[in-house]
Amino acid sequence: MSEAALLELRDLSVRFHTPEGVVEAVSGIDLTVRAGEILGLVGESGSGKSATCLAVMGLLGPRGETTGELRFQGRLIGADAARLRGHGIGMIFQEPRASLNPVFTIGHQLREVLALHRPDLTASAAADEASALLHRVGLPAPERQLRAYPHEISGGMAQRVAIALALAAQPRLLLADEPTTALDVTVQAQVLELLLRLRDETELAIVLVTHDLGIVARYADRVSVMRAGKVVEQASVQTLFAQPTHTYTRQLLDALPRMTERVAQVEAVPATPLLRVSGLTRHFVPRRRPFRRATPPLRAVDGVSFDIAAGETLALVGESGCGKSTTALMVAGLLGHTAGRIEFAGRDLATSSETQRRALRRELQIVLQDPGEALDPRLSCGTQVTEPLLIHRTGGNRQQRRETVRATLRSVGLDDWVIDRRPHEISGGQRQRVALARALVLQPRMLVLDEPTSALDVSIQAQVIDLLSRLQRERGLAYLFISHDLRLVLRIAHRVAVVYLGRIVELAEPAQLFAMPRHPYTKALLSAVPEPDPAQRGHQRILLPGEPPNPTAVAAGCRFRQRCALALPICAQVDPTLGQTSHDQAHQVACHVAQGTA
Amino acid sequence: MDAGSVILRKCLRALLTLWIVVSLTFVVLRSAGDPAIVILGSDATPAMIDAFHHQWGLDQPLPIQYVVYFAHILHGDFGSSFLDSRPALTVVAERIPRTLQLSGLGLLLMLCIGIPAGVAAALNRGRALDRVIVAASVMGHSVPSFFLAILLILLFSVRWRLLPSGGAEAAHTIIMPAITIAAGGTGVIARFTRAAMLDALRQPFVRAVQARGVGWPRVIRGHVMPNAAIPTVTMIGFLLGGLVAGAVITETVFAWPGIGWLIVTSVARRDLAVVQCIVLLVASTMVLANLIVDLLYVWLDPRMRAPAPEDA
Amino acid sequence: MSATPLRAMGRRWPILVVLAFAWIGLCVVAAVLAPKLSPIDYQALDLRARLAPPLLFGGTWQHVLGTDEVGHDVFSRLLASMRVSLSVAFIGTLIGATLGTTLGFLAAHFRGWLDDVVMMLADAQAAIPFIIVALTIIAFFGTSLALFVVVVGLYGWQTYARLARAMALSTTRRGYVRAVVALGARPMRIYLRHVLPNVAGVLIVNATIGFPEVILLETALSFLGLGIQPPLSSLGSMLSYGRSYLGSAWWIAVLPGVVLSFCTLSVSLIGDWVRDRLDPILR
Repeated sequence: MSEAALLELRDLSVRFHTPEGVVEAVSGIDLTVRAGEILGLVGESGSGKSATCLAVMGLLGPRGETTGELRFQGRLIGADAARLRGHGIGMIFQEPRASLNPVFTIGHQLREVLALHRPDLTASAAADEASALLHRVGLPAPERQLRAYPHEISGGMAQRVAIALALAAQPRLLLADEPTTALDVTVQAQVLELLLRLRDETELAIVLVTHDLGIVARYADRVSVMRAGKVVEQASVQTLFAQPTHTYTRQLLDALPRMTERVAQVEAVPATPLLRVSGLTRHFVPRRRPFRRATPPLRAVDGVSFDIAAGETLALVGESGCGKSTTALMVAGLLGHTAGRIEFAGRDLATSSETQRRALRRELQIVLQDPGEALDPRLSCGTQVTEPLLIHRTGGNRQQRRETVRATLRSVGLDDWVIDRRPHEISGGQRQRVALARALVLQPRMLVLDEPTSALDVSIQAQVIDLLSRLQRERGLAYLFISHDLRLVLRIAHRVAVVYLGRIVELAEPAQLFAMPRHPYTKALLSAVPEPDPAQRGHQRILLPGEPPNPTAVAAGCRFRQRCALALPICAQVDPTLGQTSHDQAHQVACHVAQGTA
Repeated sequence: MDAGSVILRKCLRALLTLWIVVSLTFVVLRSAGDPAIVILGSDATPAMIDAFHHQWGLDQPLPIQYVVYFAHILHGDFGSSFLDSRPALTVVAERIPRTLQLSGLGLLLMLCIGIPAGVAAALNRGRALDRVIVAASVMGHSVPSFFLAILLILLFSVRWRLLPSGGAEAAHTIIMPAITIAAGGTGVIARFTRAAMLDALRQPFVRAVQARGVGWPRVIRGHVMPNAAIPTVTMIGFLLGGLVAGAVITETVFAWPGIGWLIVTSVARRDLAVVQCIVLLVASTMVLANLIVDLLYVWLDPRMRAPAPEDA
Repeated sequence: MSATPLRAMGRRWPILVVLAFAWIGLCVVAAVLAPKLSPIDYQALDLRARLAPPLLFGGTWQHVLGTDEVGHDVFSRLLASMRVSLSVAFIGTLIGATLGTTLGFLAAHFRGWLDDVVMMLADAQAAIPFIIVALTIIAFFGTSLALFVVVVGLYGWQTYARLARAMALSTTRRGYVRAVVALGARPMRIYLRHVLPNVAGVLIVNATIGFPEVILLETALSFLGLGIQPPLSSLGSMLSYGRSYLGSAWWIAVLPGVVLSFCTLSVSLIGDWVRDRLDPILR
């Protein structure tokens, strides 16, 4: 790493002039980036990290104002930041497809950037260069991608295209604003490893903006922590994690769940499970349209079985499209199942009458992912928490209902003032608690929680998880907990099921799962999650090739074999079923290799 | 190649719409009493009525009547105008060119003034030019076309005697009708283009494209406008409907000899064969125009070439 | 916050919108109280005051807005016309909105063939400019008042239907509706308590676009002589009547035109303002 600073920010401030007044997003920060280094810029939402990057690029828009000194390669960037855009400094954004113009092919957009920054190239040389760029970012079959439109490629591929577009201008510095937040864990690993490789090959400096300390620990050389527009701490990555000086940094580190933690205690599990699911299947058959080839059904969930006892938490983890949310909706009764059985408290949901099912709804409730979505924006929070009582006509008279609502809100840690507020007047974390209160007011025995913390900041996530644990202990609630975040699940789950393409591929207690994963997918998943511990940086990664698969094109045999490094001939013929491994009765795997049935 | 199935579906849908329109016309025709009397007029002789019944299959059961009706329509036989006993289609056909002249000029004015105005307004959002354009558009839309026509006549024919108040003899008689027919639509297209541009400007890729070093003029020309063109094109289909409606009133006020004026006089005189003919003709033209716009939309927006996602 | 209270209030109530509300209010009052406000029956002849100009152009207080060739009082006629036109437009908009929204909700709720039928009818309606449809129905069925109001009411139902359907479909997919379904709520409750309030805003905005279009349709048809028939008078028929007097008594045509334009303009402005105000809440 060379000593000279590539990018220097001194006393940089960013202000936005809105109709409501002036908002200061960044307040006098100092930042340096050296050639060939990866600087992690960490902070929660509203910390000003994105605004900083946009200010460097000169992309704040007419309402933004920058003051302070910006130097790139020693020279002041002033009003001519535009000149540097792309050529000296490139930028990639959070939403991969949002970087691409939807009406032009990828090839067109690549050629445009090449024509702009490399005018020396002839047309055919430019075409070759475009292919070369796509190859460099690891896209298979570059010629085909050149002709594709943005909506035809997946999120991970789109982000790589965005990187290719940025590279076309041969920048010295790349600003990456939360480049992997919108991507699945295994895809995230691919993209980040790509960035690392680019740095190693070309001495490209990268500012990696993220809220994920794990990513920072694994990939960044130095870290700057931002909060409310100021840089509160700057250090090398090792120092930051070993000896954080600022209280905020310490808070962030403490809030982080670690895979080595074991929080959930295993209590004596009652013999009869509260919820029993067997062979649950859901196929989506597209409506028959005339003159259209019959498309194969979408096998979102393809034979899932598990039990949950009272007071127990079972977590379903997997990447997007694996069917975990669909399973949750089926268990909660919001979606019908194509095949299989769901039994709650001994009663089969399918054969129950309408009244029985309605009664069942009091016992089994669901809390959904996005708290902003979960609440009606027009009604007050109090009205919405009261609504379940009204629907089921219980809770006594008006006075008694108010009391119940108050008590429930208090049990989730909210004061009475929330009762008259509308959802948009309270914070995201508080909204989630209101949604939780609404689910709890009828005193159910089980909650289905579909990614209840995904939309929240890390520190708030921890609080909500603690709340859920407490409620479980106090009320003996059972949870079906859906998440894509393995680290999170550890704090609350008694057992974890890993879902891939509509099937459970591994089921075990968290400690077992993380210490000794048996299924190749689980191993890759665990390897892809960046652990917030710089000491683990050098470890070998298992990188899954390709993309998460399409649930309409399920191959014969084991559905994971096409991406599996350990695939054997039997894997192509026989679909493995979930079975016990030799060591541990409670640890089940669906894999020929792991079960030794090869 | 799924674009093919998308196109096929749209064509079928258009045909279906057309079929519904013809069927509804049949329903209206049959519910208004004996079609023979309705079409032939109240002073038709019993012999004529019988002949009509026979020709149009009215002495047969209802489903056969429907089929016979369809057959006649497909052959271009809409009955005869009882005023001069000529086939309705002929009467209508000779007035079409005049309407095309007027509407064509009107459309040209709308596009050539409206679209640039909308783009200019969007690029100067919040400034004086934007406010003026939006104000003018709103007023153009609010003033009824027949009132505008009367004001124009009042000023240019009565007060200042510059232009004739009607007819289609000289070339300059088209000026006032053209302005009248274009006024409302120009405003609509200006506002719509403005909204489409503003929407496209807000898209996240605009920032990303700038980040790659593309200059602002090229961003507008090469990226924003192609995206804004898509909703604007769909607007044009809507505009064509407005042109037809406008033609009805404008031609009547200015005594412009097109089919707009014809349908008004035919309604007043209850010359229902002609009315029927015009309605079906206008419907088919509109359906065809909308289909073309629809297909244009598929060509412009690559996302439309994938089949619509099914609801899960 | 650097905005002064006055400016903040100005932002909430722009001056144009205030004026628009004032104008509409005035028109509603005039329309409702027309019989009481008119000095004389507009059909009464006053041959001594023929072709009298309006007050500011040399007229008298007796006929504030002038008279026509046989001494009909223009002001009285204007009030009567406003009453007819505004009432017909209001009822028409109501019919269209109710019919369209109901069909839209039904289509969204039941899907299947009902959805297809409603959408096909909507397509067919949208395919032809409505004035042609109206003219056809009038041609075949005559110009009775009741029929005319129904025809006017059918204008634009397909926009309401499309909007209601689309919004019902998207709202029922949202988290809070699913949560309430999971709680066991019945469809009626869901539609009335959760879907309709969220949809109402969009429908109201559509009505503010629709109302001017309905009143323009009615006045256009009346202008052509095919709408409101004598002895009733509409702003359109008054304009048509005044057309013959452009040289001698231009005010007979211009006044109803101006009133009509201001009405449509005001409703459009109010509609834009409502739409802008609804956005932040929905976000």
